[in-house]
Amino acid sequence: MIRILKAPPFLTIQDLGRRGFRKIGVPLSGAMDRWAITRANALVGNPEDAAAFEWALGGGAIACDTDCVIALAGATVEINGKSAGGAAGSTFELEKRQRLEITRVVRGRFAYLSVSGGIDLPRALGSRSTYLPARIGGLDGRLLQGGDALPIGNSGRSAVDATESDTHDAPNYEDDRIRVIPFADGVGASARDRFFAGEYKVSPQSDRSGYRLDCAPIPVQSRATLSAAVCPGTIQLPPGGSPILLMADAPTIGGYPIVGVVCAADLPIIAQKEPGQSISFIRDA
Amino acid sequence: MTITLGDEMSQMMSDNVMAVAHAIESRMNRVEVVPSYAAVTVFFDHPSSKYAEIVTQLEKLVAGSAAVGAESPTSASKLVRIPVRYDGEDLDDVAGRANMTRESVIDLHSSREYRVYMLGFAPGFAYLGDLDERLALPRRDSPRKRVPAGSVAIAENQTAVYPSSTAGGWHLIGRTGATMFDIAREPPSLLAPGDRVRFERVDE
Repeated sequence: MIRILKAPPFLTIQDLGRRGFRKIGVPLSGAMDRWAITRANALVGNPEDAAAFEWALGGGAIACDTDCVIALAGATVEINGKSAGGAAGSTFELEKRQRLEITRVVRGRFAYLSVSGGIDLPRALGSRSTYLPARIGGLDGRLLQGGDALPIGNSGRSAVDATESDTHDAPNYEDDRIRVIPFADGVGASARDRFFAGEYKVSPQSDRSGYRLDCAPIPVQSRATLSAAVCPGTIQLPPGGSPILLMADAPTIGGYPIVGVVCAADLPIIAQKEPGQSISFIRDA
Repeated sequence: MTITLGDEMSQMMSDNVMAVAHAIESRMNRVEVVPSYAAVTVFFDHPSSKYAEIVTQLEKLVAGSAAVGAESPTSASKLVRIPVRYDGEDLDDVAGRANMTRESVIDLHSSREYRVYMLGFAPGFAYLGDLDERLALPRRDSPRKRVPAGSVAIAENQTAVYPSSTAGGWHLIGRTGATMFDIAREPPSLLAPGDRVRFERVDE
């Protein structure tokens, strides 16, 4: 078992998400930063779809009942006064019942903590990802708290075998220019041009379902659009004029005009932006 | 990738959408297909072909499904009867705004068969149409923070059942004991795109 000795304010179990149920309204969910969870799993020798902790908003501590290897990737966190995590990730060999304390999240938003063997809870609709609004997946579909204990899967390997070369396509979290594939007919050419010329700040009104972007309002010709499927990365332009960038827990269907879709490779960069950070968008052919 | 088949919302368009969705689902591997009012969206897990090849393949499937028509899954769609106790919080308000009695609202709502155009908003939330135009009202000015699970509601030319307790801006006219969504059930959602629905009045 892996035990939560002290939980940060936002701690859930995620994997790469829930596929195959979007037509009945079940969102994809899964890690906000798919690069980081994949990296953390690789560092402990897990398959890429193993379940890990998505850790945000503060410090906490864990321990395992057996000797194990832990990896952290994504947001940069502080452990024993030193930085850990980031795009390349860090690993820790823990002896049984040894406490690993994350003092705080230093930079970025979501850190992924994986354990060799993965978190071995039953899958719900094909995935262990937690979807809080409908209480699906994870541990009873809820946030984890101090005192929770989770089963660890069997692991054939304990040695860390992911090499430096695996990080050649790692996202640069410092990048503030996000690549977007524009939609031909969504919001009209003038609104689209204004969108790409604009500067945005990530709004505090951002969560796992989407990030609101603060900016000077972009007027959209109000054209009745029939709702259709949307996905993480879709950028909507509601009548208020401030874009919404849909993230992992976004509803499956949306009715707002669409500017374009963020390149999958840049979604981890967006996911790690904190409220108040500036970004802009560039066209990706 | 989204294939837009038109810009109107109608049962005929929906037949078209379902036929295309069915053709893609049955002929392409490792894709997730999400039908909506007038569009079919295809999500590729790990695309194994080039963009242009996928477009060509999809165009063929769309053309084929329009030609065949008979392959439309309408025959595979099911009729679902949902018992409703018509005692919703907004029933009097709806009757007042539609200038008719509660009984007439109930009769109009329960006397026709609806089509599941699509699901979205929340797991198992089905958009059903078309509602009698005499009952068509815009959404509430301010959405309720919490609508109880099982609430039967209307807005514009549609009706729906809230599968779980969520925020919601539709007018509540009744409630049902039917379980709309349950991950332990196979399939989890009572309704699927293309299904037909009848609401049946019950008194307890």
